[in-house]
Amino acid sequence: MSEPLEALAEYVLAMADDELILSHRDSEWTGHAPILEEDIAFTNIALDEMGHAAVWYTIRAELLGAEPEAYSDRLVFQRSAEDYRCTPLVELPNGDWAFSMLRQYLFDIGEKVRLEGLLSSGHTPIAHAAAKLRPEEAYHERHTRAWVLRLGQGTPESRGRMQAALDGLWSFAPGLFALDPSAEPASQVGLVPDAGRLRQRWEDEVKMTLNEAGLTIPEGVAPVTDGRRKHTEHLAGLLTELQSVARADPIAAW
Amino acid sequence: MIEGDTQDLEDPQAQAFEARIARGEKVEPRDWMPEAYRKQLIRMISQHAHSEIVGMLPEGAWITRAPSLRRKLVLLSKVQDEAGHGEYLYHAAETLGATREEMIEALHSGNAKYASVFNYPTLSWADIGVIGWFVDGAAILNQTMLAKCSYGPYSRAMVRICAEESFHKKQGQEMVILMSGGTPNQRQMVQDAVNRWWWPTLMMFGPHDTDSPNTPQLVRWKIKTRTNDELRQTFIDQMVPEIMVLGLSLPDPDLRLDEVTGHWRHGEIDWDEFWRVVGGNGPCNQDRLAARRKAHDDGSWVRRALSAYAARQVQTG
Amino acid sequence: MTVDDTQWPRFQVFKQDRLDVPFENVGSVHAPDAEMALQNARDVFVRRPDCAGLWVVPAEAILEESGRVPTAGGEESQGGGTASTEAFLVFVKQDQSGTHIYRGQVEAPSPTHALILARSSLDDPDRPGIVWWVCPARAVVRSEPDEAESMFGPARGKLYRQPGYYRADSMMRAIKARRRREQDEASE
Repeated sequence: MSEPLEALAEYVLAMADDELILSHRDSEWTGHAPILEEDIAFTNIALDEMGHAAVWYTIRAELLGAEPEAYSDRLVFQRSAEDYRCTPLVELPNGDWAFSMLRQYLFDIGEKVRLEGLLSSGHTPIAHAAAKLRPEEAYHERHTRAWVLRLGQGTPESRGRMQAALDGLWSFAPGLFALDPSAEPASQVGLVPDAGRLRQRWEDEVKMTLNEAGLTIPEGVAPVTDGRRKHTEHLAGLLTELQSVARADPIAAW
Repeated sequence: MIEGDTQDLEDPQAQAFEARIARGEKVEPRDWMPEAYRKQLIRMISQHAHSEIVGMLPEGAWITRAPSLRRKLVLLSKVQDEAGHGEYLYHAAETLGATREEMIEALHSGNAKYASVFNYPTLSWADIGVIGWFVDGAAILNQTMLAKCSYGPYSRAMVRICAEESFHKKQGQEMVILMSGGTPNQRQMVQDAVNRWWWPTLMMFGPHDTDSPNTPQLVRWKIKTRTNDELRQTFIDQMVPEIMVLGLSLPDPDLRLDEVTGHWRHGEIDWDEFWRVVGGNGPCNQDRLAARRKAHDDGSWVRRALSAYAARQVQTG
Repeated sequence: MTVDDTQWPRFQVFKQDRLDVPFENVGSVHAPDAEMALQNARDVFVRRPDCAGLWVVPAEAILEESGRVPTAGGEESQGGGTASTEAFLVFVKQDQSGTHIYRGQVEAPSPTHALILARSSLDDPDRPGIVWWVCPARAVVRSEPDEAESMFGPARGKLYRQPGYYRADSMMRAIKARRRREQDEASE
């Protein structure tokens, strides 16, 4: 396979891992959300993101000539933490509702600008996938943006919690656009959008919403720039749980 | 006698009401109805709603451990549906004048009941398949009956729920079929799950008809159209042959086919256990309620914040 | 935690399955405001395909009258030459097993007048309405056509919410057939 396509497979893996781990975190709220309607709404977002992960794992499988369902499950259930390519932002534990809503919002805008950029990818399956995922992502943004505004402006308590969430998340957010070195060739030949441009568009948009929500954007905070191979201490424990049933009986069909 | 039933049987309003029901008419929220009818329905419907909500907990706990991407998607959808069903049912109870605040408070204080089957723990991944096939299968029988009930909003909610519930049972059955024909570990896991969930599922249909004094009145009001024992027997007759064909056994040494009637005769249900669990002393009753209370309490600042935001929009809008 | 801890106000939800059929009441959701109500309605009621539009209305904005209850006087609304009127949406339950379906709009100075006008001008003599609802048009929040793709599209792709996606029936048939063959071979 050509180097650009190999790099593309790496890029797609990172997207898939982000979606999988974020979905895992989101689903931890199921049955514990602040009100019944959010048990439905946030579980729906978790469901959508898991679906997106499946889409990207499938595209990677097709790039490598592997059988999509079996290969995707092997990637999810048989890799250890050091082989995952997710960004630390999605690994962080859920915290309170403010933290989870803001983290999801920051991710949603990141996914939005990325999907817009991928619409013009030279690799047709990716362009099609991006077009298919965009309407779902548009709905997520509608939901989480509404929450950010409401919690930011609601009560002094909710604003305080949102500010604390922002202070805790801001340094991790740029990691959404980090490229693993093995994926960089894909960017150079225009198969995927330029990361710097994505990050700028993301920042312009989220800053508008955060300002409207009455939140103060942290300044002088160094972004966490360990790339996609250095994970937080949370990922190993998360994967142990995620993989526990599958690994106990690796040849079983479920 | 149903609580609140002080209605004089000679009362012309009560007689007209029962005649409407006998004609197959639906009772709608604004219609006159005996107080006992209203109270009984609020209790039944809200308990049904609570069951859906509490039921999210034993299954939701396994989403993170579902062993394939496909099973993750399926379980997420199923649990989401259950929350949605809770919505439909709270709505139906609200049409009778109950408020969600009151209903939730009743659940959290332990005054309201919910299906006891959810007071048992989910100990393995196989439990998820067995719950889908057994518990949702039993629920479908009950709900198919309730879809014909006389109270309009409840029957409409049931029709919607029945349509959505059918995949819940199918996905569970598919999982059990796969595991019963899978690795030794899977076969053992699923047999163990069957052993633990069979009796609690049979108990879902409620006490024996002889211990169910409300049933005749509920049948006259067309809230129930079949008795507890009838539904239970239908379920057993449907399930036993299919379970056995998979090479699984059932934890009932007295189970045998009555060649004359074609029905499966079964051993006696442990009614002590039934009443213990219904009364709040099952394995997980405390945990389930504690989890719901915690979600509610932790979410208090969230609900207040959104109410405050909305109030300001009204003022400035 | 007290009993007063709010579950947010209640909104009735109306759904249109296709563009060529009327909106119907499908249930209600709780939400702090209309925008969240519309989103909640989508998540609760549009998890399967077939939705072209959603409306949400605060429950308190709806006035209801049962068809069996005679209207006071039964006279048509006079309205009054100088009383200001506004548009009211009218929903009717016509079938015993059915729900409230959108019938049309009337102009009236109050909900009570709107009910009277609706029952006199929008009723079908062959199938009289069983229960009537009216609400001010300004209280209704609607999904926009240009949002339809993101609001209603995603439900179409989720085939695993349909029973036909699962192979349980065909798997059972195959297993039963195999058992029968094994029994036949054993008895030969």
